[in-house]
Amino acid sequence: MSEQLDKGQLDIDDLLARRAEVMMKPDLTERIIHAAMRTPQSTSGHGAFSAVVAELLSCFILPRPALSLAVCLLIGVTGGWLTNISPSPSYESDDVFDLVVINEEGWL
Amino acid sequence: MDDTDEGLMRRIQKGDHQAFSLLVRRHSARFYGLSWRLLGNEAEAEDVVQDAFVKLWAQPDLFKVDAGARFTTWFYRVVSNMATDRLRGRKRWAAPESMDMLPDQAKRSDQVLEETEIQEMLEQAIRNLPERQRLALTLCFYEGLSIREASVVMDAGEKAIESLLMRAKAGLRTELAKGGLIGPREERHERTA
Repeated sequence: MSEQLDKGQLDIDDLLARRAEVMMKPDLTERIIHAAMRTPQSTSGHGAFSAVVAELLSCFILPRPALSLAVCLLIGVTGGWLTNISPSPSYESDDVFDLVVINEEGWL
Repeated sequence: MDDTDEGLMRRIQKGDHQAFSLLVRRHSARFYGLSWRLLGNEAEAEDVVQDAFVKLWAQPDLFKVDAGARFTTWFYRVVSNMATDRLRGRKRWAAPESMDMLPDQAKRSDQVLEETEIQEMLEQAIRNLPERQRLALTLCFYEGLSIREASVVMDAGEKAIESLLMRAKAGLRTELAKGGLIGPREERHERTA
């Protein structure tokens, strides 16, 4: 099929190749250069400062946010699973009294 | 001294006007060609190329030298985007205008007349192509970019560029067959493909 296509495209390619050359006016280059000379450039100090800010901000960019969050979640769940914490809270009696008895010997 | 395009861009980013002049002299004709082929109008093509280069001078940091991209590929993208914006604005606000005639139309012998007619039909057919097809055709056929380079310029996949090219040629063949420039046999081949 591609051979057929190539034969078919021969004419259209030849025809496209006959499209006239584009000629640029010779003074356009100089006009561009002069126009640029009148235009101030926005680089130097401001550019350097914005580059530093951009660099700092780029430190906080997550390359793949969904993947990063999924990994964090997985680490969190695994860590929680492996940590040996009793499901029922256990308090030392002294701790409980510390909370309940506010001030026995104070100014009251 | 590094006189590659990317080296010149480094110097331009430091405010070197001589480097800018060198870059413009090296590439203005090429990008004017692209702009003209997309817009078909001399004045607008000049405006687009001038605006693109002046923007390049004013904000050279837009091109990331260290990112490893080629200057020409990046600038093809800039110019084609600006030309496309211009085309869309023209469609929105103004009636379609005829394309500028190509050069060498002074002599009107029969042969030249015939050639001019062919050129006009060809220009008209290309102009009637959808925007992306015209851009793909211009980049790959007239600017000599590879499919891969065109895919970077157009921000599309290589398969998509191939498909755009194929559809562009099929569309042109149909259009030119109506004018008798191409026989119907070739048209059938394209449809089969």
